[in-house]
Amino acid sequence: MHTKSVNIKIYKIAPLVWTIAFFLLFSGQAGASIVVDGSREFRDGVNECLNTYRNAPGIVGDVIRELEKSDNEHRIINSTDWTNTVNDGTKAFNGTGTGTVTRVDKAELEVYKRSFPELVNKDFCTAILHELWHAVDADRGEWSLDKLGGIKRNEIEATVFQNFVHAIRGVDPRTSYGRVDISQFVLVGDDGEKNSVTTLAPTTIPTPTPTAKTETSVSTSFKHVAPGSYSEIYVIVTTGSGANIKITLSGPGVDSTPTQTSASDGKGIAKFTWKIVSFGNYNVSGIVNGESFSSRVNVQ
Amino acid sequence: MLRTSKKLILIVAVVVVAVIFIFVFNGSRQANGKDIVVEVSTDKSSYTAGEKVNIKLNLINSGSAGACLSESSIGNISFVSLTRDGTVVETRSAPSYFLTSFSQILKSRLITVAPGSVMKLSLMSGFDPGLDAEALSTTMPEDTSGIATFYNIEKPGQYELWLVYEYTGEPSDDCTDTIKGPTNVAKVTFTVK
Repeated sequence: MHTKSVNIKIYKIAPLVWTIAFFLLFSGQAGASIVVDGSREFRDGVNECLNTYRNAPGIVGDVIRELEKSDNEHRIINSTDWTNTVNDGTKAFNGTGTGTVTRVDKAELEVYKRSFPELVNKDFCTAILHELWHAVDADRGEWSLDKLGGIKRNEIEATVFQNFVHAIRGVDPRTSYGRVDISQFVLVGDDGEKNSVTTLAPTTIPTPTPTAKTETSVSTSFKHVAPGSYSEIYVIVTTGSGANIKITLSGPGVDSTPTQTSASDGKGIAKFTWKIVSFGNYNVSGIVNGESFSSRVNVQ
Repeated sequence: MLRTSKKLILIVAVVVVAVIFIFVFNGSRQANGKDIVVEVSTDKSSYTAGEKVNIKLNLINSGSAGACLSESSIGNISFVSLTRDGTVVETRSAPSYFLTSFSQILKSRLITVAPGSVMKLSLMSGFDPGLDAEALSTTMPEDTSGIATFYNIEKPGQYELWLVYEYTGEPSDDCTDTIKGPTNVAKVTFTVK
């Protein structure tokens, strides 16, 4: 049994946080590993999006920063194709990781939205961030051919990630993909209620404030239950008692429902278990009491 | 009386034959790829290495009935052959993810092209980091996503491209006269210096 603990970062030093936020908000360029190509207007639009969410606590900000620190180049260009394509079709799947090209176009998005009601709450920035989830998946080498409910697992994960952005914006979550209902995979809450995502996350773009909050820790571990067949990943969240916790595991071989919810017990502890069928890096992300957290476990 | 009955039978027979004829005739007018004539050209005859190549297509409905065509280059155009100085160019393939199901996107772009009318499409090259070169690309649906193929057109030479248009999305209830099968194979040449 292997264990690792990650403490959630609680903002305590307001001046420093504000200084960093101010710098990120007004910096004109995306990081070196995200390259934006196109007209001045296009570049400004994409950079404004990245600047808006780069400092968001939790998984949304984490993903942008992870791409910006990557050794692989992730290019965003102006194209009506609206795709994310990997630079190396092998490294995207085998854990090595690769760069990507994301093709986006603001005007064309409106054409898509007229044809697909499921995209109604997808603004330009949210749509970019959905594609950047594919980019971070490729960067980690975690593209997969697995499916859930007939839809590729990577798309389910991207939609879960997109719904974190929806939650920040205070709009309803996306519940279908290609007109296929995927609400059972992308919604959280005991009954899969439609508004459960929005009630678990901040409804505005978070501004860090130095408030005293319950300290929360996350420990991850795994066990090879049936070596050569399957393993299990365990996550223990320790926080205040009775807290609602939504948690998602993503990785190359998740063989259980990726998103789970639970309330912490009287001792403030909630335990989660997933069955996995592949080695590799697995990411844990979730929200407890409005605070996002993430962790990672490498199963070998 | 007998004469009247014979006339009536004759009229009924003519009507039945006419109905059958119309039914069969209309059935045979179901649009297929051969009803669509593809003409292809480039915006220039010669490019410098790394310059964007713009392939322009005219899809002409030469049939006698309206035809449903998907107004999207990506997904519907495939390359039969692309050579540089007679040699097949370097390619690579990789999966692509879309905003939503790719085959549904193609279906959403179906529009009816009347007989004698033209749908115009274009296919623009771009820099592909995977090939580290200027490339033309095609993408075909695979489940809800797609497989993109990139063709290196950076190196100097005489390029000869043969392509076809074929609808690859899901069947549509709204646009039932969707063309079946590929169109003619069209050819275009250009030079990279």
